[in-house]
Amino acid sequence: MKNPESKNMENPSCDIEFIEKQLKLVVDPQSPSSFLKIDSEYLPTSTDPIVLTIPKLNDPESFLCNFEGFNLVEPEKVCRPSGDTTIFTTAGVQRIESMLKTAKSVDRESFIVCQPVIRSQFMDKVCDGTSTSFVNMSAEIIRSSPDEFINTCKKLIELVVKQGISIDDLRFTTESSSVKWGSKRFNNVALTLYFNGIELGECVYILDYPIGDEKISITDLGLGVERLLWGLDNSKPYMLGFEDFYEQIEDSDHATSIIDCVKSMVLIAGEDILPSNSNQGYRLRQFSKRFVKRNRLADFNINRLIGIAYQEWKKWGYNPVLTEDEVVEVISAENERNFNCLFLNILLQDEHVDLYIDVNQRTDSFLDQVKFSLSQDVITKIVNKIK
Amino acid sequence: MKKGHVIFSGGGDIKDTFQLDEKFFSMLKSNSRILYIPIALNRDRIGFEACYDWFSNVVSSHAGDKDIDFSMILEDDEIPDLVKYEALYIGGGNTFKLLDYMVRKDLSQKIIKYIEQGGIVYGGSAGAIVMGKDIRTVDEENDKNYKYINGLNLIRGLSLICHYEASLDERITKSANNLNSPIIALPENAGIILGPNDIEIVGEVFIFDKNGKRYLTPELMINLP
Repeated sequence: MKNPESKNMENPSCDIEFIEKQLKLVVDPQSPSSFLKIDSEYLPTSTDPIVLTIPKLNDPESFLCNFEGFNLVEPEKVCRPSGDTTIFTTAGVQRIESMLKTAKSVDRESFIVCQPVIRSQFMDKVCDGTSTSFVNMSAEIIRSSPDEFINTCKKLIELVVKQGISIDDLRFTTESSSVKWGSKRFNNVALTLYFNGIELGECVYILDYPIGDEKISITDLGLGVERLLWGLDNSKPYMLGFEDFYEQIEDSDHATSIIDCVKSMVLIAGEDILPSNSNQGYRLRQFSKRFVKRNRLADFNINRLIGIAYQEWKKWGYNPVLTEDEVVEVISAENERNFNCLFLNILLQDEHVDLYIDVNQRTDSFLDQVKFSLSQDVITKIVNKIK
Repeated sequence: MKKGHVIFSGGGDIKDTFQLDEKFFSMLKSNSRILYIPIALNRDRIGFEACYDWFSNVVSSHAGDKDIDFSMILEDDEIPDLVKYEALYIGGGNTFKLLDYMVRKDLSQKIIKYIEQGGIVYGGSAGAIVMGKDIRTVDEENDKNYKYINGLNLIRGLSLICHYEASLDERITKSANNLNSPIIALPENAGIILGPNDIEIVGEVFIFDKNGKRYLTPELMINLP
């Protein structure tokens, strides 16, 4: 029988003190909001330029080489089945929820996944650095030890340093909390990594995730790929692949807010969801409404936006059910419907005319019908206001 | 004179509040926008995504053919111009946390003005209680020594308690005495709609005052001293 001391050495408790001690974190006296940094005593002394030992982070494989011993798994669908905690996949860690649907328990496993996700809570807050859809790179260890958690934290730090960032410029926060996820409650400790004040990723140790009568520990590393790349070099546009569009307007945040709608719409429509007033279809409709309003002055070409978004998502393992042309058809029809709605809204607000015309038709035929009730001057005025 | 409508909901799940929610959504025209305020809740593992899904489900269940859209504000967001919205929906959670936020952000006064201008405000559970006179009907929720106790006082000087069931009778009677304020008790499937010229009670609502426990009727409310 082992004595308590030796047991503790093998399986130390994982709390904030443990994390800060293991990673040599100390308070940064120059930081305004109690950020931590790695103690300078432990920083490398070499002044040699850092050699970029990993490829550019532009596909799932490029992350794998930083996570030796982890399996790379395909992402799940973005639209989750009825009854799940959220209606869209919001993080790679949700894969565990799926695993538990077919099994009462889960075995020890280490995997990474580059999961396209949707987080609608940011729908009206989108700007550079914040989006509703992105690739959530997650590294998960099910039934993980505190030491494995610390090693995973180190992998996160290495990942960023290998991209050419000085370890001395990284800042951290640690937090311990009790959280709720669907019907489950558990405790966790988290390390969050920042560069230039921008959050680049976090590594969470879940101490007691309940599975039936058992409680297991999970290491969950998560980062938003687009935010990481932008955070490392924010002279580049936030939405990669859409550089042309950023050149068309001065306000980069506004360009991001338009592109974001399209990226999210492509994820939803690509999985054969039609716009509607219910479930995932309602969210697709909400994104389309915001696109129509935000794109009024910018006038970005929707077909090109959809084409780029479709190919970008596929690069990360997204597996759409619809073809690109079919997605264009679904989104364009919904955008035109919402243009028609906006037309009637402005007509009511500005001209105090409450007109009933079916909005569920292409804008050309909608405007043809409008001509029976309104003068050309009024129609032109409203269309110009929308555009 | 208030021009708007205030809806107080007992705070049940989507099935419980269906009848009251149906009346709320029937007041909204197509192309309306709702501002959803889930501030009373705490964030979960990934923020407020589950809240967004929940409210989206509420809208979906009642919108029918109407185009109803919504925005959600979180604690760190600036309070938008309320006039841009046809209705406000204040969700449940910790009543003291919610009132603290509303006072600090001056949202209480903005909501009162919004109702005076004809706006529609729906409060569910904590969202309903903050619109009463005194929120100490749920004193046990004051887990962080919050100092604000006076609600928006939008229902004739009465205080409220939600999720009511008969086992709470003794406690509510004591509260009514201690607070020196009649208390309206809303079961999860019940509510009150207060309009500029009318009061509608949905389901069985009770009032606790010096006369004991009684069914609340519009007539009783109008004739309260």
